[in-house]
Amino acid sequence: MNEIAIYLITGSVLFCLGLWGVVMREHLLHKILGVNIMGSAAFMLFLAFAARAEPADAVPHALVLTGIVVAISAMALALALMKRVAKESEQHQATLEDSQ
Amino acid sequence: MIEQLISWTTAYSFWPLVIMGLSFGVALLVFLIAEERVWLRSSVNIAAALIKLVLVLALMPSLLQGHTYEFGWTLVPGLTILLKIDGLAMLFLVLSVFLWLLTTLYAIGYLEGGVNRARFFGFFNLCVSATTGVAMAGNLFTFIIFYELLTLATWPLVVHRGTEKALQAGRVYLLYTLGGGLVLLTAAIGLHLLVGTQAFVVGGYLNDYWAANPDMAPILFGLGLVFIAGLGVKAALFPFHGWLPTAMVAPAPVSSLLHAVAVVKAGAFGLARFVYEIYGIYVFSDLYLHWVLLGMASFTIVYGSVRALFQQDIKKRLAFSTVSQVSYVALGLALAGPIGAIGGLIHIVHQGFMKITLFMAAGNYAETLGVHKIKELNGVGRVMPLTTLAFTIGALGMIGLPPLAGFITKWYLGLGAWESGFYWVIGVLVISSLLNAAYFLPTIYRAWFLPPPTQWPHRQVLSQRFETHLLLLVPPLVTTVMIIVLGVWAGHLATPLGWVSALVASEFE
Amino acid sequence: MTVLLPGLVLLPLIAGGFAALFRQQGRWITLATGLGMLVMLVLLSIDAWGVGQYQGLWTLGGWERPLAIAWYLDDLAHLMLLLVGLVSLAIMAYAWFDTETSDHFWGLWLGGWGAMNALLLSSDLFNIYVTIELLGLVAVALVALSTKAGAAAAAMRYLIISLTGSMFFLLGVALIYGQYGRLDLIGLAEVVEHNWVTHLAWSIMLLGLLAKTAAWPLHGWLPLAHGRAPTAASALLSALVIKASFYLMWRFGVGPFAALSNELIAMLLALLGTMAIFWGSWRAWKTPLLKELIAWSTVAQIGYLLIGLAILFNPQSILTVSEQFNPSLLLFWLIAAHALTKAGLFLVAGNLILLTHSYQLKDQLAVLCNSPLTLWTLGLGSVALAGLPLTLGFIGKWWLIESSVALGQFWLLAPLILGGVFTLAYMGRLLQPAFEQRLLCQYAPKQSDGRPAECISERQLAWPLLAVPFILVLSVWVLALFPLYPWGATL
Repeated sequence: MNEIAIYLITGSVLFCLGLWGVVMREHLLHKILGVNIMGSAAFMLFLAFAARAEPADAVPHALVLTGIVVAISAMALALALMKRVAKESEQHQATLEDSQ
Repeated sequence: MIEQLISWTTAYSFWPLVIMGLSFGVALLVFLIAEERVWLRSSVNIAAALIKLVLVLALMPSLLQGHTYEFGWTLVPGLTILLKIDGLAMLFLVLSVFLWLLTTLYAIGYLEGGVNRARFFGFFNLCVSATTGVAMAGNLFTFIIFYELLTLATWPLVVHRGTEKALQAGRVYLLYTLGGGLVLLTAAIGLHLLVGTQAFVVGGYLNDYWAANPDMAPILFGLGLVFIAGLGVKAALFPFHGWLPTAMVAPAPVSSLLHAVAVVKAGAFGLARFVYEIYGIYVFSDLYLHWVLLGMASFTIVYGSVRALFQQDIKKRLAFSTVSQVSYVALGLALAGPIGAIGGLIHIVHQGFMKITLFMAAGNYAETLGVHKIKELNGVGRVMPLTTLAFTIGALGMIGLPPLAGFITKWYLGLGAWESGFYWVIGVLVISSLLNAAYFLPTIYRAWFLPPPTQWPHRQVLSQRFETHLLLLVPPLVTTVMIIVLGVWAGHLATPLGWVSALVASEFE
Repeated sequence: MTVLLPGLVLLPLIAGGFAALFRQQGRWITLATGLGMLVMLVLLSIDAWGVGQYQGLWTLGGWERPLAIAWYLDDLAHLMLLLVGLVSLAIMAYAWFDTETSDHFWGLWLGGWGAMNALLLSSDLFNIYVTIELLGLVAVALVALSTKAGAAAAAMRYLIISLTGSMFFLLGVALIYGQYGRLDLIGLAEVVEHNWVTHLAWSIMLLGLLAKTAAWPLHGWLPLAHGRAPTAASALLSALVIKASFYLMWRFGVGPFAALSNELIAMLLALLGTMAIFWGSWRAWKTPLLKELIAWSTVAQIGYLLIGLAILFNPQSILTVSEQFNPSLLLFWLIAAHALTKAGLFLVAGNLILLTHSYQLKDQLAVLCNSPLTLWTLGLGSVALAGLPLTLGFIGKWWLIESSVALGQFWLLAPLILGGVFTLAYMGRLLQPAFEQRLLCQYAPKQSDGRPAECISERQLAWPLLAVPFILVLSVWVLALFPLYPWGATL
């Protein structure tokens, strides 16, 4: 149980870290990575919960696999969009400063 | 033959819907008729107005026998659209459909050659539809729907000319009337919480509640004030009258029909429904709300007359005169006695005829001679004798000269004040009549006896044979005749006075 | 029904894939799919209406619960399916005639439609996460289809908010799984208890969904995204996509997490809704841009929905009076009214922009002045948006008013009633100048070389572009006469 608690706490910290990145960092790549970290944190929680059962619960693994597929598609779209934002911005910067 | 008619009309209950839907359908039709097809549009308009008049008149015999027509449509539980033709509704209906016919004729003549006529007549019909809806509304929810619809449908007519001034007036108009509608809605929600939304009923539906909950007096009193404020905006009670003089930038047919009849009367009529069929006259006076209404109405009567005295613009003067005169209706209601009530309700009709005559005459002066100011009226009677005759009769009626319609009103109001013990109200009536005379008589003198100018501001030849376009001339003459008829034959049973007397008798049972 | 429910999800998803592959044929694939969907929706309504709650299980590859896909259909989901279907079809009909519709649009929205249907029908938290993520990605891609300056940045902002919201939702799902070891909504409703983990999970999910719904103060992305997207996309996003996350809050809040609702959260939502109405209206009043005005109006209108949510979440609400009909379903009419009206208004805005090539509000006035049908659509739409009586929005608002009064929350009457006036005020910015006579074609000054004045009016557009928004807006008025029709008018 203690081992699992470590994973749970790490997951929670990771989630906050990712959120901090999304909110505080200006560069879009940082924001995108922040979202990614948040996702990973959630996956970690799923897996940690799965490990509590004996034998390990298989369902969360299936969920996380699906989640990873979704996350990859989201990242693909995000990166493509980021490139376009950088191309269209005046200083070729991938930030959202100009849009408000 | 009458029996046949009665048995035919009473066989169906959908008449309210037909009457309301007729002008609504015509409105949609008129919007679709191309701008340049003047004859088609005019024929549709006139035909619809005639059919509606015939329909309403055909329902009268059965109403005289005590039949009422109801058409209900439940949206969700507790929320019903209810259209009902009863005695009170009939009073307003007859007035509005009759004057609508005349004003349609007048407007066709007035707008000849103008732009955006399809839009004008479309909204015009929509307004009439809303007005008949207000008249036939059978509960507060329905009343508010049509009350708001009336606001929204008149706005395009107020701004019809599309000038900056017209748009400005439109903004003021919307601000006041939508604000008033909002206040009314708040009051309605408040009442809904207390007793639910019930159908209007002779004698009011608050009697039982009031008898069971005497401790609710402050709430009911406050709610009554909110109602008076909400309805008072359209009825142009001081201090909610500001929109009326501003809205005078509208074309003359709009000023005459809407501001003399539809909109202000919707407010006054709403007050009547509120006093008699929501609160009921006894609850209303138990709460001393009649004191409030009496004070507001009396003040508005004097205030409107004083303001009218100082207006140099003909339409502005008439507008302030309307502010003053419509409050006679409120005054009659506030006297809380049957005789005063007759005076108030009958004035809904009488003021409608008199004021529409005056506005049409003013419109004729403006269209034919370009005359807009009082001081330009010198000698106008020699050029336009018939129009000036109509104006004169209308003005004398307003002053209350016997045997014209206005006299009947003032007579009953005076008797009613005596009956209810509000002796000072008689003073108000006398002052108001003197002020009316003070602002109308010099105008009449000017029109008939002062020499005409060598050059009119903007003279147009609208007709070879008559003093102005025939369609502009006939409607005010018809209403002039009506002013005399309503006064001279007032005692006859088939007049509005007979109708109102029967109504009041039932409300005060 | 066992075929229809997966069909409603799979057909658009698969067709969307094909439309993305064969872009030139996209519109034809869409036409065929749209017709197929229409048939299925009709069949579903014949088949399923009145059966109450339907639960189905689709054992993909032989996997039983919890890996099988579980369907759930009730009155609300059914009505939402119909709304999404009809509005999608209308907007696609518009896009068919819109010369500026991108080839990518067809495949994207077919996918979005499938995702939306899946979201409405899913009864499993994780499946719902997948569908909402998919819908979010489609929505962002739709915004990015615009070549307009700033569209990419708006899409990016939307994407980040949307993804962050999804991550919050996913975290909540993970916590729920950790707590109860199950994710199906029906089962959860029976086991959910009061403890801090569940409260935390529900709050986190709610936060994510609120961001995706653009609830104040998480609304910042919406005016940009909806204001800069292509016409049909703006209409779809405002009419349908934001309603998806709202629907989830509704479903969860009265379903599995009903036991967790308390007055604090209800009060909070009511406050957010009130702020949304005031702030959204104010910004709509100030903005110089046509589409941003309509988009800010969406922010304000979401306020009404939030107040509705606040009432649903208030534990003292009495949600059921009779067995056949739940009055809270009247809130659906508020969703429908906004969806239909807002779709119509965004399409009208698209028409104007097609004509004037300008996004500024002031440049549209001369066109409006000479375009009666457009003006009527705007006028009827404005009144419908304000939720005046005789429009569908009023039915929903009436439920809000009655319920807030019944709950003793009298202060809610202020935003509920004032919001309508605000709507008329900011829509009046478009309507009122249309009555300025100097803008009429016959008064326009002649061109310098003496030719008649150049006069732009709606006549230059294909008639379906005018008809679709008009019908959308008109339907709000017609439906208002039959609000109880789905439940039999006798109630």
